Parts: sequence; structure tokens; C-alpha cells
Amino acid sequence: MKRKIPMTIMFILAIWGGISYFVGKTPVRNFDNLLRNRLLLIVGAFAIILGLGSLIFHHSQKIRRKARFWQYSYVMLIALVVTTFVGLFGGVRGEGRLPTIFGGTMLGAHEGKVYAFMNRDELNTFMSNPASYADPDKALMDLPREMDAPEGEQVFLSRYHAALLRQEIELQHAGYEMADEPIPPMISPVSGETVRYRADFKISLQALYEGIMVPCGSTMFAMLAFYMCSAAYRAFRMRNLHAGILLVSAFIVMLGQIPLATVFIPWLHDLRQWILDVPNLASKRGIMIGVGLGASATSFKIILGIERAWLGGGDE
Amino acid sequence: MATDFWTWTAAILTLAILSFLYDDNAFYRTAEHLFIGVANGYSIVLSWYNVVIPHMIDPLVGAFRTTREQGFTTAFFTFDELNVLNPYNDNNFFIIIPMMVGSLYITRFIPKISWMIRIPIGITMGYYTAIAIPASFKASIVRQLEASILTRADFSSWSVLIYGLFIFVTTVATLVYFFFSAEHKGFLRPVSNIGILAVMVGFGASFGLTVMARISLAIGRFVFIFKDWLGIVH
Repeated sequence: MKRKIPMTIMFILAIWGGISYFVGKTPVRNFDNLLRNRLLLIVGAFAIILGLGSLIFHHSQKIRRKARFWQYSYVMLIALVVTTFVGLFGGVRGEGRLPTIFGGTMLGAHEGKVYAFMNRDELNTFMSNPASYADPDKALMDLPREMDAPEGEQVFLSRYHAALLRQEIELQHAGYEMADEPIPPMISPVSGETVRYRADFKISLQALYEGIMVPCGSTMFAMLAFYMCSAAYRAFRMRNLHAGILLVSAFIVMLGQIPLATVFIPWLHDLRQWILDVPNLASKRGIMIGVGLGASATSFKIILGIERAWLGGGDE
Repeated sequence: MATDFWTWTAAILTLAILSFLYDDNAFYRTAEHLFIGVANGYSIVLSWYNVVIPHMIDPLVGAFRTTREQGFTTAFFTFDELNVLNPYNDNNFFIIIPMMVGSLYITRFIPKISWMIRIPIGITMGYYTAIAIPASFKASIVRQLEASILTRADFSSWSVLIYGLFIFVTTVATLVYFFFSAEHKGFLRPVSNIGILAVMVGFGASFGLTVMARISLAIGRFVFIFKDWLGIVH
């Protein structure tokens, strides 16, 4: 029973998946949309709890048993809790209830003028009714022609104009500093319009993503370049014809991508493109057909109950 | 040099991860665990905003509110009257059913009923396996065969014919090389030899492209360090 029930349910869903592909009638299509875009999405969301529970359990056990490198489990757990807390209460872009932006200057645009604000409340008051905004001193400069944007749309500042604006802000609000880097957009929580701001410090989910996830992820992938070089040394030794072809093909593809190499050997780029477009394409096509046949065969094996690894081991 | 807190954080983490090139060390392990924690927290938040709120909380809250205002009817469970077939529709108790099925994932932590986790896995597995068959058959087999086969258009000029023949022969040879049900002797031997040559060119090209992609990522990180963080390069 513990295996037959799940397998029966799996088989029924598989039959439905097949029917929905081949039957184009509206009721079938509608129920399939409901199943795919809503019901299975909800079912899948609970899998995150399982993964998260396993992760927290694993690291808690490591800390409890004082296993090797247990101290780093604290780093993981604290990072997990802080990110979740900031994201759930501070919003993805820092528009939630939690204060995520500290200090700095916010910018808004209305009728050809750029306005600066000290905090979000000031900005919100302005965005809710720009025309009645009472403090004309907040208007810093007229928008130059190339910055002229319809009301409510994004205003992109060039580095030159940002510098001009910074001068103006510094004149009017001594002590406030504008950085040189582009000012990221923020959606106004009141009007939904996009404004630009520059905060002294922010800890939104977006900031955590850009400040931790992106550099860590891209550096880890970048580091593979060094390991691939050492792997290439082993793989590219010309021990036989096949290894030689591998070496030449990879060498041409890599060299053809370097601008300096194509300056000295002008036809290298064309040769690289030919390798990618013809022999590489043909071999990949053969492999892809094989993979397609394999994937279809494995799918059939799962549906027909021949392949049961997904049921896992354990009790019956 | 940058003054922004997050630029400094990103730069320190970049250097911490690059320090693994020398040896495994405390800086790398800290950055690695930080990355795992933040990435998991990020996925929780995204799931909360993209699935939990719009597909679970909002429909249920809407259904309860409508019940309070208009009274309870079985219409909350039907497909037609409340137009639940619209994936963006709200106000329906029907959503409780997939929530109950999804919550069976948690039975994994209760040994006596842990087998019930197979039900949501089976539902997901069955549906997605079934829809993968026609999709994979169409994209990986039919479309590839269509593109490889020689047609009348391939005979329009010598160059097109040679190109088409080359692609056709090499694709068939690659397939023959991976055909292990028969011993590669007789006619199959030279054909599979052509296949292995094509496969080697393909693998070499893939290797070259992957290396160049990784190198451009590495260049990106060094540009970040020397330009955005240190401000040495302009």
C-alpha cells in the first residue's frame, strides 16, 4: 500500500499530463493550466520546507555534536535567519515595514524638476501629490533636455548630470554625500512610481543579493577557470589523434575569441565560427538525439513503474 | 576607493573565495557558509512573495472575507461560478487541497508516516515526466532530425549540398558511435570512427567555450576589485 498508492497517483497524473498535451479542448486546457500554474506550484512550495528543515537539522546537529568546522554552521544559520527576516519584513526592494534605508538622499522628478528628500516620508508626501508640494527649496535643478522624462517614469542620470546634481545637493544640504555609482531605482510605496535614491546604508534583500550572492556566486564560477586550466593540461596532452583533435578544436575556439589573436590571424575568427557551426553542431545534434531518446525512455520507465528509484528505500 | 558598505562586503567576499586557490582556509569557509545561508534565505523570501502570498494566503483570505460578507456556499469549491480556472483568480477554498497534499512533504520528519512523502513526489513526478516526453521528443529528436535530413533545398548549390551532406553524415556517424547494441566492426567501424572525430571536435569546442566563459567571469571579478572597489583602473 505504501508504494502502490503513490505509484497509482503518479500514473494517473502521468496519464493526465499526456491527455492535456494531445487534447486541445478548452475545459482540458483550462484544468491543465490550473494544475500546472497553481496547484503544482503550491505543492512544490512545500518542498522548500523539507529542504530547509534538512539544512537546519544538519547544521544544528553539527553544532550540537561539535563536529569538524561546526563554527561555520553558525554563520550559515545566522545568514539564513537575517536574510529571511530582512526579506519578509523589509520587502524585496526595501519597501516593507522594516526600516531598511538609513540616511542618504532620495530623488523624485516632477514637471521637469528634480527634487531631493531627506527620508521616505517626505518622498511619499511628494509622490502622493507632487503639485501641492509646499517646499520649493527641495527642487534642485531643471531636468536637462536629454533627461526629460514623462511624469512618473524613471529618470536616468548620466555621470555628468549626477555630478551636477551632487554639487547642487551639496550646496543646499551640506553634509550629504552623493556617490558616483549609478543610483538604483526604488518603487514608491505610495504611488507605485519609480524614483531614484542614494542611501548612506541599506540592508534590503536586493542589497544582500547584490552584495553577497552575486559576488560569491560569480567568483566561485570564475575560480573554475583556474582549475580548468590545470584540467586542460591533463586533457590536452597529445597522446593520440583524438586528444590532438580535442586540443586543436579547443585551442582555435579559445584563440578565435581573443581580439588580439584575430588581429594577427584574420581568418581565425571565421575558422572558429565554422568549427562551432558545422562539426560541433553535427556532433551536438547526434548527442542531443541520443539524450532525447534516453530521456523519453526513462520517462516511460518511470510512468510504467519499471524505474522505482524515486520511491526511495526504507519500509514497504 | 569605494566608500559604499556593500562594495566593501562584495570585495572582501570575492577575495575570501579566491583565497581557496591557495588552500582551504577559514576565510573561504566563512564566505561559503554565508553564501549558502543568504541564498537559502533568498529562495524562502522569493517563494513567499511569488507563491505563498499570491497563491495561498490571498485566495484563502479572500474566500473567508467573501464568506463573511455573502455567506458560505459550495460555490467556493466549484470551478465555474468563481472562475477558479483562471490561474490568477482568487477567493477559493479549493486551494486547501493542494496545500494539504504539499504538507505531506513534512511527513518526512515523522518516521511512522514518512512514506506519505511519496504522494506529493509522485504527483509532481507523474505530471512533469509525462509532459516531458512529447516536449523532449519534439525538441531533441524530431526537430533535430528535420534539421539534419537532406531536402530539395540542399541541392540548390554545391556549397549548400556539401554543408548539408557534412552535417548529415557527421550526425549519423555520431549516433552510430553511441550505438552500443552492436559491435563496431565491418561497416560500422569506419562510420563510428568518423563519429568519434566529430565528438572530439564538439567536446573541444565546448571545453573552449566553457573556459572562455569562466575567464570572462574572472575578468569581471578583477574589474570589480580594481575599478569599483580600489578605483585604480578607470
